[in-house]
Amino acid sequence: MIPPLAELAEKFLLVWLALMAAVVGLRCIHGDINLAGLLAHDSSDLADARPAPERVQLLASFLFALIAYARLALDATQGANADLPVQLPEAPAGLVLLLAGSQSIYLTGKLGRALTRRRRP
Amino acid sequence: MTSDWMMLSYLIAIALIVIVIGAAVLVLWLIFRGKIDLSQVLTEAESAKASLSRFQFLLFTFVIAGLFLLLSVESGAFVNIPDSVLMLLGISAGSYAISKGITANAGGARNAATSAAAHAAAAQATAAAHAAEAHAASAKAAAEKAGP
Repeated sequence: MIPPLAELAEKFLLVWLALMAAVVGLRCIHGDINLAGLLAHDSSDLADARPAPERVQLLASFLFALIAYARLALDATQGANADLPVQLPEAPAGLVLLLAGSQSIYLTGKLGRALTRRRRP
Repeated sequence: MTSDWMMLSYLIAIALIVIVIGAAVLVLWLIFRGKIDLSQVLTEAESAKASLSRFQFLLFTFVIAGLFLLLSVESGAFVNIPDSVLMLLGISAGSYAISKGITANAGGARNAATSAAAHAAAAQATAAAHAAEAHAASAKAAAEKAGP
């Protein structure tokens, strides 16, 4: 049983987080938050930037990990018979492994490109 | 007497919630109106590009902090954060730090090369100016020697 004040605060927090995400998302879509070159190679000129594969895979895998974990946490706590939570739910080992692997690929690619650029005359 | 204290604590709790909600609404409103400038929040300091590592670190922190707050409010006490979630945050933060290190290193090497090239160009320009000055002086001396 959640006390009424806490229930009110929880509802407000949920709405506030959703509104904050919506406002930031809208600003990104309208171009008010600079997202130019997010997926481009480090060395490339922004005018003709091509996406780097290691960046694309990182974006896809971290968004997947984030959404999967958020769903897991919300499902675990907002079920009809859910008890009061005492901790955030454990992240599955597969999710941690996926994120670690994806970040390793990204960093290896970034380091490789930096080294290649340095060796170039 | 006890019920008076209960009432007082309830009123204080309501006042605190109103203050926090007011601050949260104000921040959201200022972001919505563009008074809080978020335009460069994802931009790298060294270039005009948006940083992917900064983006993913920001989103991870936002989501996990939001879930933590949500569950803490629901349960009435701070909830525990399991090791696996700290590991997720750590991977994200570590990747951000390493990425910045790589960028700074590459940028530092590039800046050093640019600075050396600029230095060489400046030295060359100074030498050319000195040569032109000497040439002008010798031409003037030759003209004076030749007479009217």
